[in-house]
Amino acid sequence: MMSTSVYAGEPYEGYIYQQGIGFTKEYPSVSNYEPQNVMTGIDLGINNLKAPRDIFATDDRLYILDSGNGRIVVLDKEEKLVQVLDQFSYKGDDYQLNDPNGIMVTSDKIYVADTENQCIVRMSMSGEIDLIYTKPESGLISQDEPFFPQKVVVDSVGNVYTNVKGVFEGIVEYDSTGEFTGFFGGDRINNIFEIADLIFWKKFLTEEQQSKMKKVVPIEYSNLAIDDKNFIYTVSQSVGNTNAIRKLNWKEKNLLESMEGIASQGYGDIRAGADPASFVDVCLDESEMLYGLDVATGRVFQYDQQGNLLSVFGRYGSQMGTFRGPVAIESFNNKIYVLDNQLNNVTSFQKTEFGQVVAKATKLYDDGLYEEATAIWRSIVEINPNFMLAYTGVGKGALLEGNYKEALRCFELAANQKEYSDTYKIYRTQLIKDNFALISVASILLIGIVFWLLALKKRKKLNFIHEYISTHPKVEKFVLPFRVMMHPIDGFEEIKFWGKGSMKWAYAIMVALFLGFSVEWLYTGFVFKTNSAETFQLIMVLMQTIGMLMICIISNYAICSLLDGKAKFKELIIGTTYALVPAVLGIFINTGLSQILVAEEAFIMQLISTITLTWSLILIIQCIMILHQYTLKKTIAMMFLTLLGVMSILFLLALCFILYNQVLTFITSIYHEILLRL
Amino acid sequence: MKRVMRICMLIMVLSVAVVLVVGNEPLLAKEVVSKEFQLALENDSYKLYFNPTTAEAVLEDQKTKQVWYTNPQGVEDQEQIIAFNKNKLKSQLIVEVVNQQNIVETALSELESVKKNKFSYEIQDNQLIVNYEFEKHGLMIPLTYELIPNGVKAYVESDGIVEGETYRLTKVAILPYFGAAQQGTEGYILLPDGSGAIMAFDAYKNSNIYTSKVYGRDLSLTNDTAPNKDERIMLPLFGLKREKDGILGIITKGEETASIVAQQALPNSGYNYAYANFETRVLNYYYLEEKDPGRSRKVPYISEALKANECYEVQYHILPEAQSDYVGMAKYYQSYLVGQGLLPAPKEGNQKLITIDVYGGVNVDSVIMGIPVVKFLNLTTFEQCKQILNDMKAAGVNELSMRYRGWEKDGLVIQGASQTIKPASSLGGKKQMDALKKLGKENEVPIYFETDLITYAPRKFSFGDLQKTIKNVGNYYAYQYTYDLPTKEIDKTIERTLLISPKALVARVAKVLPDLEENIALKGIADLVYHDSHKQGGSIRNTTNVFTEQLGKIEEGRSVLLESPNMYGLKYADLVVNVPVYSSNYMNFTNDVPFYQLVLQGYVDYFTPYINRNANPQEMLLKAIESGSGIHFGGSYEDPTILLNTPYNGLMISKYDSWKDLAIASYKALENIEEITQGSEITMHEAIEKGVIQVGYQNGTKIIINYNDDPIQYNGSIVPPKEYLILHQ
Repeated sequence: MMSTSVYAGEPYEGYIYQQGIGFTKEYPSVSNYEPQNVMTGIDLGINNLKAPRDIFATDDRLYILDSGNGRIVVLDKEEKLVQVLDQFSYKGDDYQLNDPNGIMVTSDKIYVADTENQCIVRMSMSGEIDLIYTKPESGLISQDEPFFPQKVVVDSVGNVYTNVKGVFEGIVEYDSTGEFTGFFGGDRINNIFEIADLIFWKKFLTEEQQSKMKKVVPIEYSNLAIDDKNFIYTVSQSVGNTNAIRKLNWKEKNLLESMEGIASQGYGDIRAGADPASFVDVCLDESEMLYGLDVATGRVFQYDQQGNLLSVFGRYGSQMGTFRGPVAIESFNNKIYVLDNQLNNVTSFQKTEFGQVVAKATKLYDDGLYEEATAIWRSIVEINPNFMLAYTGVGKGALLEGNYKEALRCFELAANQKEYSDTYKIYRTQLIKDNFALISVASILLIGIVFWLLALKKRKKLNFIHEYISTHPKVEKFVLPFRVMMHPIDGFEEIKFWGKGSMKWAYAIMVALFLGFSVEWLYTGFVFKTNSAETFQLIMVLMQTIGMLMICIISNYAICSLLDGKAKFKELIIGTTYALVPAVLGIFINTGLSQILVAEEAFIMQLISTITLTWSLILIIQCIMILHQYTLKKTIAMMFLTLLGVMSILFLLALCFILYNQVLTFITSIYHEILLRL
Repeated sequence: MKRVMRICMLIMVLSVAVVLVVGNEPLLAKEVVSKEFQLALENDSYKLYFNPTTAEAVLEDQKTKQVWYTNPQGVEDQEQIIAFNKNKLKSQLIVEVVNQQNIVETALSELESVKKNKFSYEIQDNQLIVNYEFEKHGLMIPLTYELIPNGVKAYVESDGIVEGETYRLTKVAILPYFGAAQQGTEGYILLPDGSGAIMAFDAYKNSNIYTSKVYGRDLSLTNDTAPNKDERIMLPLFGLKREKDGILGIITKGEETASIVAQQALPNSGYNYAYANFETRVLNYYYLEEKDPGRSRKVPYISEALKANECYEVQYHILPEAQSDYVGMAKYYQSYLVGQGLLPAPKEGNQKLITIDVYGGVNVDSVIMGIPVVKFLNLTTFEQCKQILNDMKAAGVNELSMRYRGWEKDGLVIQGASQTIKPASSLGGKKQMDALKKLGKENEVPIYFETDLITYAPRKFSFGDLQKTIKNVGNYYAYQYTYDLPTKEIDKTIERTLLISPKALVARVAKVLPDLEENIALKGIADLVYHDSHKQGGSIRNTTNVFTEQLGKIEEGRSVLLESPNMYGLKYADLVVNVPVYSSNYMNFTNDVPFYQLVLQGYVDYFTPYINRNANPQEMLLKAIESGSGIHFGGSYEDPTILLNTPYNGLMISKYDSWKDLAIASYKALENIEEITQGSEITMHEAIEKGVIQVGYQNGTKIIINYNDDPIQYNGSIVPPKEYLILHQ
């Protein structure tokens, strides 16, 4: 119905995620990257690649580790062949690479994780190996098991890091002389419960069992990358989306985790129902944007420095820009290269015109140049109104220009509650300033009226109201809910013994309760929103309010009438609903306040809801006590029993619902069966 | 005996003498039809010889004596080709059958019929009929050859096919290797994929075989997962350019069920080829995803009866040398279509250079105080559309046409199969609409009001809506879904739609015909195909026949705008939008060519997809210039962010204000080119180097287009990156 496939040369649909209020949703998007070229060995003028495993880019060269052929293929920026490195020597003898998995190139050395030879080799640019990093002879690494280094990175001082298959303690680290120096980036036990757990088990387990247990703390990195500031980036497969990509500093702290952003922790397809990501490689481009290669979907996810998703490209398939066995990703010469070890080719992706604009805006924004970025963000939403991240940028620009309304609209679109709240605060101050005379006159008047009323009350000049009420039974009945609020014992007694309760009021309060929940859902101010208006479900709210209330009353009536309860059903309905008046008022007041308060003032709303709820709870206790003629002790016991009753009713309802569903499926399948036979 | 020998010798000597005297070209050994071939058919310009032992045939040009074999010769001697491929290369028919367990098997005419001498042939009434018996699979298939003025045609009639009990025939490929080019030959395969694509001979990137359905996939066959994002084949043909030769294979019958298959020469197959593969049964594949990424298991679901009354026909047209490249092929095909009456009359007057799409509004589900309601969201009212028109006119945008989408009371998606056509009142109603139409007339800007007669949303509790739709092979209603982007599964949050059955379409058109706008944009009718598995339903051919008929009715007295129509719809189009400027870009494609555009050129005004909201607006403009297309913009007057959290966010409409200037600037660029080329046609199109295209016009104008990020040098002039250069002559 909503065709999005007519306007682009890319074989995949672009999309981005938006973590909105109460949901995570994907939006169709214009692609930031488009496939530019597919290179096979034959295109380069050599025989075809064979199961290549890794690529690495320096400033002017791209190195392809052609594992199946045991060689390294070197390309220049024009994607032309520069060199094929297939002769290696170590101390004068020939050396053969054996299914190597990882490659890293520094200014003068090539490091290869020579996996099946169980070592990492360091060689000159012409293939003379001068150092071999072997399995550390350390008690920290099991000496019985083989040592298969997977990927390798080297920092600026020559420390070598490698992730080793079957080693879960972390990344194995060597110094520049080839000495093992320890593990890096392993999962630390940082939780008091985990420590307690370990101490507890230590008492019962043998040493052998304990050593086995340690291995179960698994974090196996699937790939590594390093930037010029020596931050190490890691990706892990089969850990789901959370923290699948990490940026570790020398203290092994994940810097991406502590960042404040929209998608700070989830990577890959973060929406519920989507396959969890399985990242095999990560790379950084010139402006430090991150690219994660996910083999679960064959997609590349592009993130900015804060971990906000910028675009998704690539998929499995046979068109240009799609893969069959993507294994490695690298940024080189402003393009993204993806290595496919089943099609034995390298696909290059270049930024689209849109992608270039996004990159520019992101860079400016990251550098804090909001004003310069604004115009660019605006042009982005003009092409792609679904690019949610841009609205934060546009909003910040509008804020700088003093256009608060526009800024608020943009932050709301971007679902950015924090920025909205901050802007609203400024806007509110501005409003107060602009209308200061009016506001001050109004508040002086209001205070005056309050004092006047108080004075009148003191002089007993307001007694005529009480008199009027007590002499008019209809009016008395009408104001009873409010009387219950202030004088619960008198009020409930009037319901119980004088029959002054009104069913009409009870119904009205129930409807008000329902409306209160609905209004809260739909019209809570954006700063405090937890549910989006789009997800509003009438039936749901109805069940939550009137349905739940009725279940509670029925349960209470059923249980208490067995246990000397004196209340009639009608009285209970009236009493309970009257008792809920403070809570209902609280909901309305809070919804109203949410429109004018900002995030820092949330405590006011919390205070109000605490007070009104406690108030209602006290009223309910009074209500049960008086209507059933219980003691306080018995009342509390009965309330627990009522809760149990509610649970069993809900359980029965759930059972019925499941049964109903099964009958429904049965009928529909019979219907389809008949259709098929017709 | 001796006498016979003597006569033979005499004939040979004489013929050599004749050739030496008459033929100005030297006689090459491979060009001579060898003695095993016997003359079977003959017309004014061609002869067809048949080899009774191998069942191969060869077409000979009477004048030039050039020959084209149905199967490549000398395959046996090439050691690198594997045995199975050798047998394939020697086959005239490749068929696919399924057994009772629905397992697919491939059968080759060479292996099962010719080698076992199970075929017979007869020549009668200028037809050569070869009867192949596939013994193992209990099949009999007659293949008929006939000569046509410019070549040969070959066909299989479904009624002539005899099936056994065990196997069901699902696919038949006719003369798959006609004109196949041996490895090392210069040339390319032309595929009508999207705008058109070239597969240069031998330049393969992997061993994938190109297969794509003519007119796109059968929409009755609902997919559980999102179909691939690729371009449709709109013209049923394929071309082979070998050295100086050009062969155009035109699928003339049964194209609705055909797929086009092509592959470059791999070391183990040795030949570049393209052919048409026909589906003889409705065949649905269910893909059962497996956990392994990218892998899925194909489970076929196949109709019982063979399609009746079908004919599967391919015509091989031999092109004159001057028309043997893809531009020539396009021109040749254009004249073929004109000859068949499948193109409208040539365009007169100025070409429209820009089409602006205006979105009226959409109906969305909304909640007011807890009560669900349907709300019409205004995107552009008739009044605002007038404003856009006036703006454009004021800016000097004269050759303008407009399309108004979502102007009906249901918005973009029609509710129910028998909805009447009425303008939405919140857009201004009939009065405002008439005012808009009047303004359009005054300014000579045709405003095409879009009406969807094909797709509709079923209303709740309406059995009538379901009665009027189509069913798929499994006898289910063929719902059309929107697919979820991350999971590629059906997105249940977006309303599913139905496609009208051909029968109901006839009734609907009869009913609404008087209400249809004078300038009408039609959605669906010419750019999608489906069959109907209802008992009274019919094949895709039936559907396209109905579409063609109804298009004819609607077109009478009206001007019609279509979206990149399939071949059968071209005749009825006055304006064509969303013409793809790319192909599906399979890895084995060498480059894209504007083939479809060249076929339409001079007969229909055609426009690119939207330039705004494109990832590469500038590239799109260059593509328009390259293909001689008009440009296309679209959006709304109101701020479209109101669509963000509706099912319509996939439209990605942008605000008119934001692309107004770009639209005017792009128009001026095209206007400038139009002035220089004086409306003459593109007669030359070639890639000079990677990312650089040269386009030549009849009046001698040349345009160099540079898609690269770096400037290039051309004959001393510099073409800046992502720019073009006009050369006068």
